[in-house]
Parts: sequence; C-alpha cells; structure tokens
Amino acid sequence: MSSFFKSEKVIVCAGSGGVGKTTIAACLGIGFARRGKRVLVLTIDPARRLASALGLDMNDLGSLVEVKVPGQSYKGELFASMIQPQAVFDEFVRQRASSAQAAEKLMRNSLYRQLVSSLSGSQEFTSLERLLSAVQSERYDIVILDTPPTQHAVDFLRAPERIYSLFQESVTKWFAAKSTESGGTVKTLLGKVVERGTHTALRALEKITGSAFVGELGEFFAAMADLQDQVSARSIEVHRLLTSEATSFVLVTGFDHSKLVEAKDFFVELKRGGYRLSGVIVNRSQPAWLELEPLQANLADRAHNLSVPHIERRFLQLYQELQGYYSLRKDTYLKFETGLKGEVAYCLMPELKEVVYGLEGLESMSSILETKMAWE
Amino acid sequence: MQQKIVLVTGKGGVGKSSVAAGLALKEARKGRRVLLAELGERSYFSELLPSGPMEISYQAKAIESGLELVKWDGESCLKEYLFHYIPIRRVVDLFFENPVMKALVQAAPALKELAILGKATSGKRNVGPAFDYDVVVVDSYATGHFQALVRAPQGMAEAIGFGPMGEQSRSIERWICDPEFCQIVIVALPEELPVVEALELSESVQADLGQKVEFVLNKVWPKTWRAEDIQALGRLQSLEWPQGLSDFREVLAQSLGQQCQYLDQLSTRGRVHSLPWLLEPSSWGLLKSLSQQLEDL
Ligand SMILES: Nc1ncnc2c1ncn2[C@@H]1O[C@H](COP(=O)(O)OP(=O)(O)OP(=O)(O)O)[C@@H](O)[C@H]1O
Ligand SMILES: Nc1ncnc2c1ncn2[C@@H]1O[C@H](COP(=O)(O)OP(=O)(O)O)[C@@H](O)[C@H]1O
Ligand SMILES: [Mg+2]
Ligand SMILES: [Mg+2]
Repeated sequence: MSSFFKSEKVIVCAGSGGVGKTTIAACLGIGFARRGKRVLVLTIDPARRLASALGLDMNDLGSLVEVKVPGQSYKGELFASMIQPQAVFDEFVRQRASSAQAAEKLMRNSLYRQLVSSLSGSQEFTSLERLLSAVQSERYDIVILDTPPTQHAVDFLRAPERIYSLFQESVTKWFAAKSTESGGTVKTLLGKVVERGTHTALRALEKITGSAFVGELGEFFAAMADLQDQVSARSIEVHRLLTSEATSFVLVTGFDHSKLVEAKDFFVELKRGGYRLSGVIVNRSQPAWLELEPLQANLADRAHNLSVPHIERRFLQLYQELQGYYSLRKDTYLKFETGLKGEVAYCLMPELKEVVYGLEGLESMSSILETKMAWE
Repeated sequence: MQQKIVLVTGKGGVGKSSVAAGLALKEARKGRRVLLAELGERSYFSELLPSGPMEISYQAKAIESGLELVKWDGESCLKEYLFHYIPIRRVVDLFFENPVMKALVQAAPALKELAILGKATSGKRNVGPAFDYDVVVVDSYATGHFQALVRAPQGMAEAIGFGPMGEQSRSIERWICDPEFCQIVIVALPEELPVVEALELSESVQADLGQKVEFVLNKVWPKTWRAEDIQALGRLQSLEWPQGLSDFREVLAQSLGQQCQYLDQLSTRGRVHSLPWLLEPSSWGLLKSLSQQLEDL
C-alpha cells in the first residue's frame, strides 16, 4: 500500500453524507498537529459533541473565527473553524463589491437571500472561498477542508460550477442590460441585446413566472454583475489551488456496496478533472470488537443445544449472524480493494465501540486511524 | 385519484431509500397503485431489482404488481412543467439549450425543487400528463436539501407573486401542508447525531409546513432483547468466551440502553416506529422483509 500523504498543503475530505467526513477531517488535523504542523481544520455543521471537542461553541462564534483547539499538547498546533455559508457569502460581497452601496443593494435582494441560504451550490462555493482565504493568509502549514453533505461525493466537484456559471459574462451582462432599461419592455430590449434563442427562452420564462419575477431576476443579476470580475478571478484561483500539487483529496466512504460503487465513480471523476487523490478511507467498517473467525466448536454447538439457557443461545446466534453479515460485506470490499491496487492508498477504519467524546476521544480515534493508514 | 404522498428524509446513510421502498412495497401489497420516486442523479434501486439491473429514469417502469419506479431529476420535471404551459416542443427545447437559462436553472434557488414537488402532487392537482397512482412514495433528499425542497413552494410564491407559476406554487404548498394528503417520514439511526438531526428537522418542518412528522428509528436491535436479558447474560458469561463475545455483550447492553433513550426522545415530537436491523445483505429481499415490518406506518 502506498502512503496517503506526501507534502500537501491542502487536504479536502470528500464523500457522501453521514459517512464520517467531519470526524475524519478532525482526526487528520490531529495527525498533522502531532507531526509538528500548524493545522487548520475547516468544518461544516459538526455534531455538537465534535464542535465542543474542537472548542467551537456554536452560539458565539462567527464563521470567520479560527480558534486554537483547547486542551492540546502537540508538537505542532491545531486550529479549527466552522463554515457558515451565509456569513462567508456576505463577507465576500462586502469585501469585493465596488462600493458599500452596491454591497447593500445585493444583500437586500430577495433572490440573493434565497440563494445564499438554499443549497444549490452555495455551501460548496462558500467552503471553497473560505479555503482559499485560509490558504492565502499563509498562517498555516496545512488546511483540511471538510465538505458539505451531498448525496454523492462528486456533487462537491460539480456544485461550484453552478454558481460560477451564474456569474458568467453572458448571463450577467444580459440580465444587467435588461434591468438598466427598466421601463422599456422586454421586447425592445431583446431586439438589441440578444440572439433569437435567448429571446424565445426569456419569453417562455416570463410566461410561466410572470414579469415581476423576471424583473427581480434582472435586478439580482445587475447587482451580481458588479462582482463578476472578482468572482471569475476567484474561481480561477480556486481551481488552480484544487488542481495544484499542493492539494489532495481524501475520499471517505462507507462499508457497503452502493457506497463503494460511488467511491469508484468519484475516483474516476477526480482523475478526469485533473485532481489528485491521496487515498480512500472506508469508514465504519467491520466493528473493531467483532472477530470474524468462527466460534470454537463447543460454543457453536451451544448456540443450538436446547439444554443451554435460551438467552445464551439467542446471544450466540445473534453474534454468528453478525459475523455472517460482516463477512459478506468484507467480500464486497475486497473486490473493491482489488480494483484499487497500485492506484491509490486505502484503509479500513473500523466502527468503534465507544462513542467519540471530547478531544481525548478524537485523539484515540485519530491514533487508530493513523495505524490503519500506516501513516509514518 | 391520487390519495397521498409520502416524503421520506433523514441524515445521509440512515436508510431513507430502504424505508421508502419498504413503504411502497407495503402499499402495493395492499392492492394500491404505487409509485416509488427517487430524486437525484443516480438510481439506488436500479441494481437491486428482482428482475435484474434496469436503467431507471424519468419514464416510470413497472417492477412488481402494483409498483412502478421512477427517478425524477429537477430538469426533466421543469421541462415537463414548461411544456404544460407552452405546448411547443421547439420552444421548450430552446429554453433548455440556452446558456443563460441553463445557468439560471442550475443555480436559481428553488426552481427545480418546485418542479419536483409539482410533479409529485400533479395527480391531486390534475395538471400535466396522466398520473394514475393511489400513493406516491418519494425517496427524498437528506436533511438540509430536504428543507430547501419543502420550502421551495412558499419561497417561490413570495418571489414571484402572481402569474401562473405563483398560483402553482401556492397550490403545491397547500397540498404539501395538508396532513391528510402529505405524510412526512424522518428516518434516524439509534445514534446521537441522526436523532438530533431528526428532532431538529421535525421542528423546522412543523414551522415551515405546520405538519407533524412520523419517525422511523431504523436498525434497532430486536425488541425481544431487554435490559434484564443482558444482565442475565452477564451472569452466564463464561471464561471460554473469546474477546469478541464479551465485547459484543457490552456493546449490546450499551446500545439497548441508548436505543430506549432515543425512542423516548423522538416520541416527544411524533409517532415513532422502530425497524429492526435485519442482518441480510442489501437486496430486494431485504426491502421486502422491511416492508413486512412497516405494517403500522
Ligand atoms: N433495517 C435495516 N436492516 C438491515 N440493513 C439496512 C436496514 N436499513 C438500511 N439498511 C442498509 O443500510 C444501508 C444504507 O441504507 P440506505 O441506502 O437505504 O440509506 P439512505 O439514507 O438512502 O442513504 P443515502 O443517504 O446514501 O441515500 C444499505 O446498505 C441498506 O441495505
Ligand atoms: N469509525 C467510527 N466509529 C464509530 N463512530 C464513528 C466513526 N466515524 C464516525 N463516527 C460517528 O458517526 C457520526 C457521523 O459522523 P460525521 O463525521 O458527522 O459524518 P459526516 O460529516 O460525513 O456527516 C458521528 O457521530 C461520529 O462520531
Ligand atoms: Mg459533516
Ligand atoms: Mg438513498
């Protein structure tokens, strides 16, 4: 097995919802801090327990605060921060709009408010924005990014494009031109600005949504046009960062057929997009306490011997069923692993017996993970 | 006539798809005409089907007697919706090929979500192509995106005001707020995070739709195991037991305790159904077994 990390400055933890990305991101942070690095972990929606373990009390911290995780004693230093999309978006607008008035105008627009709070790409956009700022601040040796819960791991890669495409020149210009001619009807404007296809499309949109909505949309894009250059410049920078030698993805996935298929697809998509993959962590695999070796003959007999107390029989049977269940999953996994050989590092992180509590809990999970990853 | 729609949600990986399929199979067994709808880009069920893998997309396909399966993506729903108002194929195609509109549809909040809910309720509202199901079960998005989904009609109604789409938004909103017609099922696992997320989601659903939800606590240890049993086991524990067995005893004891606690927590906010962890590999057979366990939902 090749090793996970070389000399990355950015690590992106990707994977579909609920597989353990946020927890793994924190564990990797501890791993690097132990190795003397100054690390920042950017988390999204951490569980309350995890947030308090990292010293991120939800109520009184804005999204831009980076706290030194309390109670640590590492060779390096561990910092954590929580990404709140709305706050990051607002900050972005405030810093990059041409004037304070322009920023205010955009932030008041009702579509803007919906856009920043809805999920079609804005969480992804803001987490990348936050990542870029953190890297550019040059205050850390390494930044670890947790990613928003998506249905599939690849969604994270695709989502930002949706936001960027909104700012594309053709879109913003077109709508912006439209709104400056307020008062003029759509028809006169269209004659001037756009080609026939767009004309028809806009009429269709107006027919179903009404002119008020199209007007609102126009204002939204006019306000966005102000940010367009900044956004496209940032998007180029983000893309450069994500595809650079300094960045690498860690795919966190689950121990079941559909999650493993998804992992494979993600792997292909990453390669196609020119991104680097450090490795795959199959989390919550066979529980650490479960042994797959069949029970000794005498115990196995007891499971079905009617003279043994009922309760003990049921218990032994249940254990054997669990063994069967996890053996099958392991077979599925082994097929997947064979497909990965030589391509990328991978490891199985077991389901832990105890719930992860506090920084100590994270530290012990991190130690196990380090062993499984064969992290030097 | 469409009788009801069930929206199934919960944290990622908790068993939304399994519960949705279980519910759909249960309804079909009772002789209802059922549609199981998946959202998103990939079909989870296509590889599990009893008749072998099948491509699942916007055209519903029969998979068992009384049960059809479909995958709805926002764009196709929106296309159909547009076609309903502007029944000229060429115009609709132009709309979706246009880069400006493409960008808009991709990123504009709520447009696609609205179209999906519009499709899901189209039988009741008598719009669009024939939609001849008694029950529609939607294997819906995970928590955050689900909130965006159910907020879409109201948000759109506010943003658009009048016009045909504004009216549609209001009518969709009315139906998904109607507890007789729309049932919301939140799936959780007996673990802290999924339960907390389920509780919070039930509050936001109540606030947004005025609806009570039902919970499914999935993958619970069989109810026949009680705390007394574990104590009795402790007394039986023998020196011959390998470490795995002793550890399992501890794990089982601990999770039985937590399980009860989670059941209590959830039941403060809605009816809770527990669904046992069936130690079978994922397959159509598993979904059938689950459907047997969902009789009372
Ligand atoms: N009660 C159960 N007993 C046994 N296995 C189950 C049960 N419920 C779900 N599973 C299994 O757990 C895994 C996850 O379930 P499922 O895919 O339904 O979750 P999901 O919430 O739809 O996930 P996603 O968020 O990825 O869509 C699957 O392998 C499924 O077969
Ligand atoms: N290997 C593991 N063993 C036991 N519990 C785990 C493990 N990995 C994660 N968890 C738990 O699973 C839950 C979900 O993890 P989280 O990191 O929040 O997932 P995600 O960010 O992918 O949604 C948390 O309660 C976490 O403590
Ligand atoms: Mg997370
Ligand atoms: Mg699913």
